[in-house]
Amino acid sequence: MTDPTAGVQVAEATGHPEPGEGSTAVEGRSPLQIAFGRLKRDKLAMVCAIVVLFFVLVAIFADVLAAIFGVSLDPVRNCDVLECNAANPGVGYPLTGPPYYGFDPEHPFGIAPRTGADNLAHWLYGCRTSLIIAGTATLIASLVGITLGLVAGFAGGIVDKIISFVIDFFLTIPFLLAALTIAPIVIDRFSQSEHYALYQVLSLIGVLSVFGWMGVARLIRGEVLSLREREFVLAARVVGMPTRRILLKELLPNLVAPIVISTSLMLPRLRRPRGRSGVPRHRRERRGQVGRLVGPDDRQRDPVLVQLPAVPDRADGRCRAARALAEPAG
Amino acid sequence: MRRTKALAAFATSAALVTLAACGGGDGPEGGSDNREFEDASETIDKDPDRQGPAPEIEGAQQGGTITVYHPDDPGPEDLDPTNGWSVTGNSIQQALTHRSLTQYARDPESGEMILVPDLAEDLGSPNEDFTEWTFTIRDNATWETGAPITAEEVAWGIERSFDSSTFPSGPGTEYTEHFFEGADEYDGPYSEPKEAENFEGVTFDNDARTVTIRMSTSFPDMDYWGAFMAMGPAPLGNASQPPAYGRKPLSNGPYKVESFRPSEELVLVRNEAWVPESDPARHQYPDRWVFKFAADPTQTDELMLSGNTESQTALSASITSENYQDFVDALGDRLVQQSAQCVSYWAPDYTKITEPEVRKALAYAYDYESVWTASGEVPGVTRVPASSIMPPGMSGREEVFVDGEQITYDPERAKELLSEAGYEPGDFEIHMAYNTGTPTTEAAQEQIKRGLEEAGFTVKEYPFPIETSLYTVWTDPDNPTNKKLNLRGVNWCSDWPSGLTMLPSLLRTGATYNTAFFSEEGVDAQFDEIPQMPLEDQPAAWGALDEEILTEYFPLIPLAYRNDLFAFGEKIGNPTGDGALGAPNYKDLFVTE
Repeated sequence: MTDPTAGVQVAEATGHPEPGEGSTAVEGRSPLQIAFGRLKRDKLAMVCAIVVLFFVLVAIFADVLAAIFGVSLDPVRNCDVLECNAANPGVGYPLTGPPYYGFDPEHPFGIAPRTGADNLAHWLYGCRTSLIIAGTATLIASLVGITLGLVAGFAGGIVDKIISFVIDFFLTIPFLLAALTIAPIVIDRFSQSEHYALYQVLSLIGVLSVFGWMGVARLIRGEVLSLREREFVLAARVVGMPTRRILLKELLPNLVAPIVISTSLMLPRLRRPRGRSGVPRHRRERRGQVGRLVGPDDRQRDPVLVQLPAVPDRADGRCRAARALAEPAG
Repeated sequence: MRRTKALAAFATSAALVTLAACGGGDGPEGGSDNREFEDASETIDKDPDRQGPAPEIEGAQQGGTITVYHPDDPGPEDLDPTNGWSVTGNSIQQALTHRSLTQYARDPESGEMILVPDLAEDLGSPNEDFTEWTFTIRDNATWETGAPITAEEVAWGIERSFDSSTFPSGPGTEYTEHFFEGADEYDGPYSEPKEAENFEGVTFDNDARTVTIRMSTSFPDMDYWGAFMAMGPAPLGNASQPPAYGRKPLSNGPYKVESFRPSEELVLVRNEAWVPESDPARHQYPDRWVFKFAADPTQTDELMLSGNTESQTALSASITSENYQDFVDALGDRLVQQSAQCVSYWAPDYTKITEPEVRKALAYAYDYESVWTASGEVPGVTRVPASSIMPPGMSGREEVFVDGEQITYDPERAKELLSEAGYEPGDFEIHMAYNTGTPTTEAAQEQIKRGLEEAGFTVKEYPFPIETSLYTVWTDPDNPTNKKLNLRGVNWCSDWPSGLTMLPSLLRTGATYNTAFFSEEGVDAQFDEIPQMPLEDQPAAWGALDEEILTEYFPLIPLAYRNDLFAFGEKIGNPTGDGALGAPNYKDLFVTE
């Protein structure tokens, strides 16, 4: 599922730190420290990190920010903020702000046609919704993938065969098809429930997790296969180190690079289907979602709006800061 | 006839659209060309002498494919002619695939619809008191197999409409059930196969090619009722067994069914066996028709406005308000406003919301303009506030103001009415279903809920995906969700210009689309009495009954009188609408080179 080539182009732009630079300055640092040292000197990576941090902060402090700007998600009477009188020109569009009027400080990002909703409020809370879902799904998928990959690669034999079969089996299921099939089942089962919105989020996290772990698992398994024959692992075995300790203390630290790369690639990939109404049609939440801010018509009318949902996507797409982090470590 | 789409399309004024692109400017520029809501015409003329072939449309060409988008509209659930009672489904099938006793033709000069013969050679011969109608079936009409259509098959098709249990949402449940002789005892050939042998209400003579229908009461509107595809032929015996027949019915019009996926797509192809000389109104210009149901409204708008190759041979049965001005500018005459006798109602459950004050409070709690705007309509053009149950343009109809004046959104008045009925704000809980998965219905529901809450109601919502027509919930008494609802809705269009096709269909005890479950003996009795009156007295009687029902019971809340807008691609010839059905005029469309 993961497309390992997706982030590669970015690597060129980040610039390779001089190979000898770090090691001559300080000796005896751990690989992680060396990596962070190089990352700090990489200007592009730091800019990217700041952008990512910005969106994380926006997501965390969405309600505070909304209060500061004086905007909210509460439904408004749309005819109070939109032109509803067919006799007047501009019917269906906001009475203040773009596309027909100048900047409106009460609604800095403007008002959505039809619903009369405030775009800024939806953008703020949308960041939160997107990050929660993508973050949780990435975490679950990574944990499952790493665990299964480690076990399969290290145990080998029948265990490896079974786990590999399960991985291949899940890889054969087309994600989009499965997601679209599950959506109506979920809506049918839970639509009358009190906590429908919660179930929508949970089912989305579930679908993304269930179909997201195989890439990581395969990657980790492959790495472990080569690592387990290396001298330090053999040495550890000879000394009689328990398997659990070999897995966690010897193998895992050496897997940091592929893990960081794959999770950092997964996060924006999982965000995207939500961002752009593509995936489960019924699964979209009614409020607080970035991708729904802007319909195709609005894009034509006010090009500025196009950028709103795109910014976070691009931010984590371009700023796969982990690339820079991982490369020196590997 | 029901409107499948819970909230259809919209439109308005002014030649603005100097794209004040990046949010500057001092507002949109004003303009002229104000379109307004047009009332439907009051009568439909008849021409019993018209014969096939239909006169050629000026400039018509053969060939091509026409794609028809139905945004937010799941379309018919099946294609069985006996079960079809929706504007979307009937307009397609009656124009293209399924013939009946009579049909409508559009007069190219006046744009009015005219009732003309179809499978019958004329508009039928009634006896003196309209209790027996005889139709002579023409000898050159055929099925898609090439086999001739016989009087026996027509009689069999009509007999199927007696089966209210098998076709619970078909129009036979109203017109066959209440006007045809024997319908009170005989429940149709599928429910009572033993009785079918002895049934004599519909008789035929294959040699004389006649079909005779006996009425239980005087029924002068039989020729209009004959224009429904339910009054057409069906293959004898097992070949037309429901529900299988509804998935792929045998066609006898100029097109036949190639494939049908409910809520998604219907593809029709040329029926080579159709004989143009046998048909006074239909044409066979395009090679193929593709109907796309439950289309995304914004994507459809974008496609239609793009003017690309795909959109040039496409037409959309609705557009959204934000794009109205763009459509007017880009399409001009190819944006057609079609008036029809259509009304949207809220139907509070008569058995659960028993206080008239609460029903009136609901009328004040509906934020008319906001809901229309949210659902992509433009107030004043495709939607105007409603007062009576019967729509404007229906003879005998008069405005009815149950509260002295036109009801508008007034949450304070709603609260007063609620407290008169003994409810504090927040006490009364409304249970309603709505469609999700499309921005228009969700935005509209948000406004509806807000309006109700501001008026002192609390709201419990039951979402259904847009592919599920709400009518399948509302009209199914066994549906577990439906049992919980106390506020439903219905959108209704007249089947022909008479109160007979509005009031009884919506308010008779047990009627399929009586989603309010309204039941009053006195009113039911009048539904039976008025058709017995002298013809000239009937319109006024329906008008008086309309007022009586609203002022005494207020069982239905008329929300809006509705018109539709159709957007035609630039390569579609003769872009016109069908005023009898409130649909695009499929019979006369063609693709230009």
